[in-house]
Amino acid sequence: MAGRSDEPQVVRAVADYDDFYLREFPRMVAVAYGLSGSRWAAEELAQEALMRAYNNWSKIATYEKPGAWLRRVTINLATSEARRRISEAKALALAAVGQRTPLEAHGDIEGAFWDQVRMLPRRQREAIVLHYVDGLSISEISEVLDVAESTVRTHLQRGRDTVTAALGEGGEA
Amino acid sequence: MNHDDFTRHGTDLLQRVQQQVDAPKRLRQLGGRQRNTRVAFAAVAAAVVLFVALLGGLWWLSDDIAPADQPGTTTTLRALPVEASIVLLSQFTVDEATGTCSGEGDFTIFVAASEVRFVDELSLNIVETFQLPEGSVIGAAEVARLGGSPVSSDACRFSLSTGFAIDDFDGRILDAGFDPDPGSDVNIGQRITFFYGGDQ
Repeated sequence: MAGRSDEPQVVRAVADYDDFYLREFPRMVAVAYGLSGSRWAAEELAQEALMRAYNNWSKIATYEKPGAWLRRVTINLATSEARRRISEAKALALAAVGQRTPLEAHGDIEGAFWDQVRMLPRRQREAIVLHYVDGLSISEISEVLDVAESTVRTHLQRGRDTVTAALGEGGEA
Repeated sequence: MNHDDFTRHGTDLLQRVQQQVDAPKRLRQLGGRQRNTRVAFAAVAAAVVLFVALLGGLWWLSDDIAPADQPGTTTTLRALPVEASIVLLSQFTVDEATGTCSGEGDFTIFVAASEVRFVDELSLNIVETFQLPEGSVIGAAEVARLGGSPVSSDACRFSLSTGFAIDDFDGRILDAGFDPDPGSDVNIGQRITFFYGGDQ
């Protein structure tokens, strides 16, 4: 975090955060949307993740890669959000035991492709969203997900194969 | 579909989101939210003081005027369970083989947005919420079997120690918002919930 030496520390930190926010917010919305399927929830999740970064910026700004921290938080929030919505849906569907209740679909960027991505196992869909939406490299994804690069490659390959097979049967969106 | 098709879908999603998201506006909202949070904290702190004063008054009155065997508001309120919900900033790991908890930062850091909730034990409605003070720490962690909770696997049991009005706020992680992948060390940003007493 380079800055002019005569700038007050606090001012520099705030400016750093503003840049960080402006750069990362749209990307985190896209990542959260790819994982959650809800445009509304995606903005809230991205906002919540950046709020946590803001609340602890003095610490997070010292990290070598604060963006990796932010992506972990966003992914975990998206996972928690999905679990919460599943629980709510199950509670509302007690009378239909044995049937899986689909998550409520919000948003205006829906498509069969992302529906298929969101049906993948968690690690596979996270790897695909981080790679193809956020543009992270294999190495960067391995840092965010805290798994080996070979594991990331495997998740990506299996995820691609599954989505391709699924869309091949029903046709691409 | 090949790699390029996936890239096209991903790029299209990102571009469409970037066209629709007004980041500067959201940034201003974030600043407002911070100010609102501080105002809300002051308001909630004042409300807690009034609430405690009211409890004291009710308790004092109940001793004087309420029949001893009549269930009343005071009895219910005295039994309120207390929750503390925190967000981890440090990773922690549960090693089920060795029965140990380990993590970065000695479990001493969590975010200022952490909160304590008073919950009506009958309706489970949240009746009061206030923020944990900065500087509160997790004092200890040990492996606990969550046999009584909806989560049946091992997890870390934490204790809050200093910086909080209720000493030895001992609790365990419940399922709400908890690690969806027990045993994984990717827990940053997870919200975990403590219950006062830890044995509910």
